[in-house]
Amino acid sequence: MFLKWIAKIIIAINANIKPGQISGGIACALLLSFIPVNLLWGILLLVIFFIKVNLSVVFIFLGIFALLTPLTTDLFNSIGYTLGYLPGIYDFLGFLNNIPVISLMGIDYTLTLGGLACGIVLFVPMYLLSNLLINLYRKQVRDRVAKTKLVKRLLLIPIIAKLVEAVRAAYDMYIKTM
Amino acid sequence: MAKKPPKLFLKQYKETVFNKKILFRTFTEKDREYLLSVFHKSEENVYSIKQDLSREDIKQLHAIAKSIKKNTGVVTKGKLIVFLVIILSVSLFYILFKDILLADALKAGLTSIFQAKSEVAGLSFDIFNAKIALSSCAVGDSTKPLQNLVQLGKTEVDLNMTELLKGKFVVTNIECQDIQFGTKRTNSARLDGYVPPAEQKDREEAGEGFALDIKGVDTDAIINEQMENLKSPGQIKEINDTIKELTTRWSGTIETYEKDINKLGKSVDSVKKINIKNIKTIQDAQKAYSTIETVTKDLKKLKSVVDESTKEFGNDMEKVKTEAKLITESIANDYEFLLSFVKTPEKGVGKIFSSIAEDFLKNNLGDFYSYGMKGIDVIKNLDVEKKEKSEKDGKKKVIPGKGYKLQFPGKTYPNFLIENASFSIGDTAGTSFFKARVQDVSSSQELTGKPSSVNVIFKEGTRDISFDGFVDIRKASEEILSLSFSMNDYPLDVEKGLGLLGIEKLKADAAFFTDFAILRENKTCGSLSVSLKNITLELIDESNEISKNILQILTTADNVYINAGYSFREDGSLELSVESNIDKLIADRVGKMIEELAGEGKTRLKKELDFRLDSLLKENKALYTSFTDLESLLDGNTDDIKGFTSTIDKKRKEVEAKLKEIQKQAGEKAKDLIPDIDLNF
Repeated sequence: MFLKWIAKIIIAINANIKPGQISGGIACALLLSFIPVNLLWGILLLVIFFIKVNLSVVFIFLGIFALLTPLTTDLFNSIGYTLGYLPGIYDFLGFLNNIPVISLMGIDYTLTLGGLACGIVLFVPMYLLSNLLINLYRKQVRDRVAKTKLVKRLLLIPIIAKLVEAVRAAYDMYIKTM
Repeated sequence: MAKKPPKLFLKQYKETVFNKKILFRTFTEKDREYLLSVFHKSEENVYSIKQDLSREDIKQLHAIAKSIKKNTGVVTKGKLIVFLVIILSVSLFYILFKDILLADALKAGLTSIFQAKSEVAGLSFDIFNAKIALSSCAVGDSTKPLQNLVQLGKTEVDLNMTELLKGKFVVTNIECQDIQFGTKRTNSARLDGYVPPAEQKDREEAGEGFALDIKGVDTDAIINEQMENLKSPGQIKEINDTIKELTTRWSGTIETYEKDINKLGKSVDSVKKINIKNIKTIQDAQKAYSTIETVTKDLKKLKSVVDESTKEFGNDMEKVKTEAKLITESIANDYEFLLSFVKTPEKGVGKIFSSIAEDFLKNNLGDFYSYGMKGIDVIKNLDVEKKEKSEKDGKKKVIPGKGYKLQFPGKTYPNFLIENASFSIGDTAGTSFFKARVQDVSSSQELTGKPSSVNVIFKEGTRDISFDGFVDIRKASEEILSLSFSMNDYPLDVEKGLGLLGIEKLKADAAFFTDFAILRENKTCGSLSVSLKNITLELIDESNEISKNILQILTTADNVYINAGYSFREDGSLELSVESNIDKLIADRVGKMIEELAGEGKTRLKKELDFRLDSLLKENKALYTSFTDLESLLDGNTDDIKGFTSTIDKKRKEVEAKLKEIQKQAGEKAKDLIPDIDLNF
């Protein structure tokens, strides 16, 4: 299962897929991982489900970022608490809190607020950075890496070989260049 | 397998359009190069697909076209359409079946709360006006399965839709114009497996005790009714059985000993018959001595057994004597118990009317406490939003997985709130109506800042009953519960407990008021006043002097009132102090008569109890005597053994003396036979 996910990411990075769909998936995963699971999280996931981002990338990076959550909880709490009581924002949140359904999203909790704020702030940089790295990989790295002796030796390792096989089975033509 | 290239590539594109629609949407260098290789660029810079493409090329072009399509746009239309269809289907299902679903949910909720079957009919939910209407609702009584606890007629419930969409169930108003209690059911309301709480049998029994009426104490009835509760008859029977069993056992034992003694007596006789004069030789003496030793051995063995039995018998005798004493105590206790059914004025004749009122009130006021405690329990069970309250106080508390909750100004509703519920029957402007209102029942009184209150008014002609109360479980409140109840011009009909005054039945128009509060730490306080007018009495014996006096006192008094202060102990029992304005009048006129009557009743009760126990006591006496008689028999056995011992000892001494004598004689004879020998060598 895990190998399949990795294979899907490798396919996504190497296939004819718009880099924005992959980097968008990474940025969305970052945003989701910063917010506790509640109604807002569910709505965001639903929205992500309908927009054109690579869902495999979303779920794998969500898992990766979730590992960092215990380290960020206190920070998000502090940010949420500070942000929540800032005069303008406090009034706005008060207004939102009185709107039906939105009040159920938990934005009156510091962890949600802090996580959402950090997620929004880091969304664009993460998107741009991922985009840059994917393009860089596709243009500069992929072909060179594929031809190195190290990769050729790595391909002999059983687990890597299995991975390659999985990728090949899924998308044969793009492996040929490696 | 497609034979033609995809539609996307069949068109002719100008260079700018080709770049925009195809090349810029292809993100691998290899694909871009491939596309340029399969397209032909004309001199006018128009791109068109080459004609001589292989099957492999067509296959690859289809794959690239698919990728380009995937890379176009932001939203996945297919998924969105499926989602919208699902949402529409669920909404349609809800709209079609919402009334049925809500009725079932309400039915299940009521069944769970009241632990009895409930029915809801004609429910309709108007989403846009946030209104629930139902034509009838019946909640069964778990303790009386063929009755409804409450039955509502046409009822309308107004919800706060804004709060409902925020996940809070706020009922702004409940209107019910037909409410009935205790209506009959055609089917049982009891749930499968429901076990009703144990009935308070003891209390009911105590409440239905016998009174000392003007005809005197019905001792037969008291004892007949309470025979099963008396301990002494059972105890005497048990003791008698024990004595019987001991007597049988010891009679057998003593009989066996007697046989053994008789047998040993024969041996002792054989010893007695030994004639010392006939003992001539040492051999004769030894033979006699041996006989004595054998008998002594048997005697010792029997003595040891009899001594042990004597000791055991002593213990049993002690036990029988102790139990005989217990009989006396048990009878005394039973007598005391029976006296409790002869109701005499507890505080003397000076407070005779108050005492009667006290009994009556104790039986009726207890319900106040239990209803009050039930009310507190219901409100406490509902009040579940304590965490948020502590944050409102300014204490920062982290909720795991959520962080701190930010507090915003403005009205905050609790998750559950009934702001107002009104029930009425009849027109309040008319002479007869029932009106009840319940307000501010919520899941957090701290958030609403109000206690839960109830107000009931019932009017029927000139008579009215009103009930006001609140439950306040907020931290700062001093009174957890407050209830006040008043009745005016209400017919009072008392039958129980009046026999003491020679009254069969008392009827009057009563005005009753009580207020009661439960404070912090379960302290309670309450007061009540009852005033009686238009008193009529039915006397037990109209010729009786006591009755006549009472009748005169009660009917000539302008106003008979009873005032009381009361509190409840932690176990729910009532502590009551009652005063009445006619206590002294009654005490002065009939006090002595009542005391004499009570004393005579007690004496008769004692005689009747003694009579009932007479046969058992006689049997006990006979058994006791026969058992003590065994003691003398056992003593006789012991005496026999002592006599035997003494006889044997005496004979032994005689034989020993004879033996010594024979030995001496033999020594002298031997000396005579040996000649004088000179031993000086």
